[in-house]
Amino acid sequence: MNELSLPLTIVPSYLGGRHPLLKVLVGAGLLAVFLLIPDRTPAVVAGKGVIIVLLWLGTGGFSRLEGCFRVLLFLFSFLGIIFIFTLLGDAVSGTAGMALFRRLAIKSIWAATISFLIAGAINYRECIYLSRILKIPSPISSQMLLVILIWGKLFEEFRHVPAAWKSRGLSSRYLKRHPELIARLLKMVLLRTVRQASRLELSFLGRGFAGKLYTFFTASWSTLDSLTLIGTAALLLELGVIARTGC
Amino acid sequence: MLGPAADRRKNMNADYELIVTDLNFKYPNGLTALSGVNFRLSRGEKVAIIGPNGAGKSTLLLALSGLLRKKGLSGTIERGEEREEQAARIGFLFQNPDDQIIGASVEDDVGFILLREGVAPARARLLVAEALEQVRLGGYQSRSPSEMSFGEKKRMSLAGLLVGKPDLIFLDEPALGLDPREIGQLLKILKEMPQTMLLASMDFNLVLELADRVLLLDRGRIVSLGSPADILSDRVLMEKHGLL
Repeated sequence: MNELSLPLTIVPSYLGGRHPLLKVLVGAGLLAVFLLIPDRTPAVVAGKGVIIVLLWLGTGGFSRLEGCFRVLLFLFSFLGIIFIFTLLGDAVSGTAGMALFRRLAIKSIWAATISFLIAGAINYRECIYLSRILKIPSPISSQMLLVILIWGKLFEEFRHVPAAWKSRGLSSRYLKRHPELIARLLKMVLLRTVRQASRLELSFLGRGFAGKLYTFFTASWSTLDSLTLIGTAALLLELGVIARTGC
Repeated sequence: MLGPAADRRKNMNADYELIVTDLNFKYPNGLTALSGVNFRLSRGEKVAIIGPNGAGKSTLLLALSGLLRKKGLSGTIERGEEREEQAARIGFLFQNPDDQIIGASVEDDVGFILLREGVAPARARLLVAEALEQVRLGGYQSRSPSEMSFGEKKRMSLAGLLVGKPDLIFLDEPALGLDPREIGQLLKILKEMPQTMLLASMDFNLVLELADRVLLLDRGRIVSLGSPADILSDRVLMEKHGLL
């Protein structure tokens, strides 16, 4: 959700230029409707697919294709683990477990894709602004925002890892033969992140941080924001109609 | 009410920005980082701390700025009497600017202190612009720090301190990682600053150009305190402490 991490690098986009509150409303609306409406018929799944494509185009399109692919790949690895456990569990004797897994997998893909696309359109400054206008208590909002900040630092450290491997003559093939090295490298990355996080803490303290984050960023609601909100609501309503009538 | 002795002390301390008496610090593992450190820093004075790696330079700066945890720390650190009420008016520049940046844009980062103090955004913007001009980064307000060079980030971090109008500035290796041109720019900026300054640096040219006095630290102890020309030209002393 900030400019520091590679998969979530903010790119100029239609939704990215809209009011931060609109992005939250669109994200929350999509998540709620996608999770509430069951994916029973192909028409519903197709309708959801069309909305996802529109959201993808509105949040950067092809420039975010690689990031989107990585997130889904990450998700599929988790789903793969769940699938194995589903097979090993009680589900083997019946179809209920597999049906549950199918539902879980589809919902997870929708949720992860929507969250990723929306998160990539909101930057850190907008998050601080949102926490202020939504009147989120500062102990909660600051904790969340600091986690995002540290998360960005963790990603930055991870970005240095491939170069660090190569500088020591370690190829990916060598690492595959010595998986214990990966654990060691991960440990180093985490330790370096902790070190940097403690430095950041000092930086906050040095500037008199008292539990609140600030930004100069402000935004005003435009006609285009209203139209986008109405358009999204109409699309979601249409999806509801498709789910009810089946066509 | 202050007694005559306190009055005398107040007058005596009025010219000093910082008075450090018998400062000691031990890490939790028992390693001594600072041992019996005593010195005074006059108002407006620029003092450089030099010493080999691990001498305790950064630890001393952190201790004096109040950023070091209290456990393991003993001794007294006094601000000049008139300044005690404004103890928060301290600025600290870290070695690595990436450790210091907490804002997603230059103006958010530089203006953090102002917004925290409740300065109106319009006025804060003006002060941020002034501070950025001071560090030769005028017009950088909307830039993301991640797009800036190391030297620019360092100057931006300096601007973040300057907006707070500190009386006392601590600089930890300000020239580290900068190319000669950037060091020249930084030196010019630091020379123009009227604030009292305590800097830890291994860049002896910078020290020679900037510092009024040099404090040589080794193994947590002050080994020598004097003029930059005297200390830096003392080959025996410098060699003995691994600086030549």
